Amino acid sequence: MPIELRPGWCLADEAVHEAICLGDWIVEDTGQPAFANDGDDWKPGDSITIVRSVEFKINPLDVRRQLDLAAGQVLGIAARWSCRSTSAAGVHAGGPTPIPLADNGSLTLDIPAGIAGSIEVETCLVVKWTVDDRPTNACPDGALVWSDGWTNPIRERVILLEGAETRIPVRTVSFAERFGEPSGSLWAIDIDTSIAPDDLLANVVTVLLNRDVMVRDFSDTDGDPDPMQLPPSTFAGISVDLIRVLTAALVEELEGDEDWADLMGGTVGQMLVLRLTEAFGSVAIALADHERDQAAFSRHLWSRFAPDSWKAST
Amino acid sequence: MTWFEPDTHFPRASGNSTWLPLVDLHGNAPESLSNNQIDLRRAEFHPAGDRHVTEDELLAWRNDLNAWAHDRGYPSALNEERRSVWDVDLGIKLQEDTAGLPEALHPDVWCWIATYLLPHLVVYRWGWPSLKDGEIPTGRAKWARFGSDLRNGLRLSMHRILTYGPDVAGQATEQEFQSIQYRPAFGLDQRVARVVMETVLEAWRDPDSPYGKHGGSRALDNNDVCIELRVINSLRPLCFASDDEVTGVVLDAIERLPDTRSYDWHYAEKG
Repeated sequence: MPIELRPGWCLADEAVHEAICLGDWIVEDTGQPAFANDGDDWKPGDSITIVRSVEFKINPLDVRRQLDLAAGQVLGIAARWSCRSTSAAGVHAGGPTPIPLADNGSLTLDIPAGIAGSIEVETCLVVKWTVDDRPTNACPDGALVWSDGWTNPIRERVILLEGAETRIPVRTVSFAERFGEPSGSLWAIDIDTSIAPDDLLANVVTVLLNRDVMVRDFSDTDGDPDPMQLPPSTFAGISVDLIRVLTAALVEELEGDEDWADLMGGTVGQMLVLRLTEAFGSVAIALADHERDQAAFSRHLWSRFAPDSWKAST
Repeated sequence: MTWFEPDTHFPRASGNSTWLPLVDLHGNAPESLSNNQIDLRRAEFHPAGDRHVTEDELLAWRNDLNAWAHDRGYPSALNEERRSVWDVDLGIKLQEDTAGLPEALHPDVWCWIATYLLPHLVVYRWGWPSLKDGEIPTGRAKWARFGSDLRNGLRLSMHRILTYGPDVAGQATEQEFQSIQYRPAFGLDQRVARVVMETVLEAWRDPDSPYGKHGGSRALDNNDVCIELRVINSLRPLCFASDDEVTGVVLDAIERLPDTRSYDWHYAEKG
């Protein structure tokens, strides 16, 4: 365990939490906790605004006594973010100067679009002096007296923007416009006609969601399509459909003498071999089923991808 | 003026082995790499990127950059002065060409560009990684000028323009850039980095300031100042200080240079 020697003017964690209550960082657009981001909700070029409430647990006038502030010391609250991937950092809205801790309020971080990977966030208490005559050994003006980074490890203060796992693009389009005729279908699998096992999945496969159906059945309060409302059975159906379509498209390559172990991560072939092996025990058994008995092939896939519950609730 | 449609997404290279395709090219002169083949089908794109850049667009951009480079003396050797001008001009050019793109600052995008599309511009400025015991070096660190972190030769020149602006970037030395860049605790905040750099450059021009004079050098003095800023920053975060306050802290550190030059900072920073 690392030993950190902090100056005597720093505040104890318990004293701060007895005086003020800091809410979770919330993504302003979605209302979701920022640290719950899994890399699926952000895309390059998006800025992100997060907000954290700051509320007093005791009378604001008693905070000075609770935190043992000297005469002339004013406590301010501040937040900073950094993005190591793009070598950028910044501070709370209204900064750089800390916000005087006087009333219930909130902290806001407006993180600009030039970010990637993940964002590290830290909330701090900083002391400003309003008098020149300070006690001996007093902290300097602008001294950091408390940070949630001292007790919360980085992994608990990180907003994940881009996950490391392979992701398949999902686009919401009107099937009436795209395919030239109205459709009640919820999804379709779109694959590149010249797909090969060593293609990267994200480059050649797209799941299309029908905007017309989404707006009708799965829309948010503004009437915009909201994929978060789709029930688990939909994702199971998309998964089964995806594997069926890819197997049919690549059946000749799969029957060949490919050395699947050589395929890079994120490729169509690697994903397909993995899923077929999971569902059937081996690629050879899967292909035999596919050729001999399509119904059995589908049943095995449904057994693999069936949701925990078929109830339609999200 | 950007070269591309606003919502264009670029290919990416990520992971520990992005340098591998360059091993076979090691030692080649930059001119021979100017028209390297690229293969977007095997390139990774962000799954949410609706519009992928096309091969034709990338090759047209490279042709334009090659013509731009030839106008600036490429491929004749760069001396120290020309290197500085090249860095600033390249940073401005790359920044203008990619401004507003969703991934204009993405490290994996610049790793792909440096590895596959523009390796000749990286080799021209930074050379190939040195041989080790007569062998081509291996591992990410040795190939960092083509990698994803800020040592990437293309990212670096663009980052300096974005952080400091062309005027300040044109006056700073390589060591001054690095002293700030290698202290991310305060140097990641572009406002703070810019104020620190502007203040030391002003001090360099001031005949009464000890910075870079009276027995000191710009490189070592800047290193000493930045080490002291790092220590101060841990007690008093510069990101929460106004521009004037940051300037004051830097000037105080410069004022103390005659004393701190003899101080064993290495011990203080590591210890």
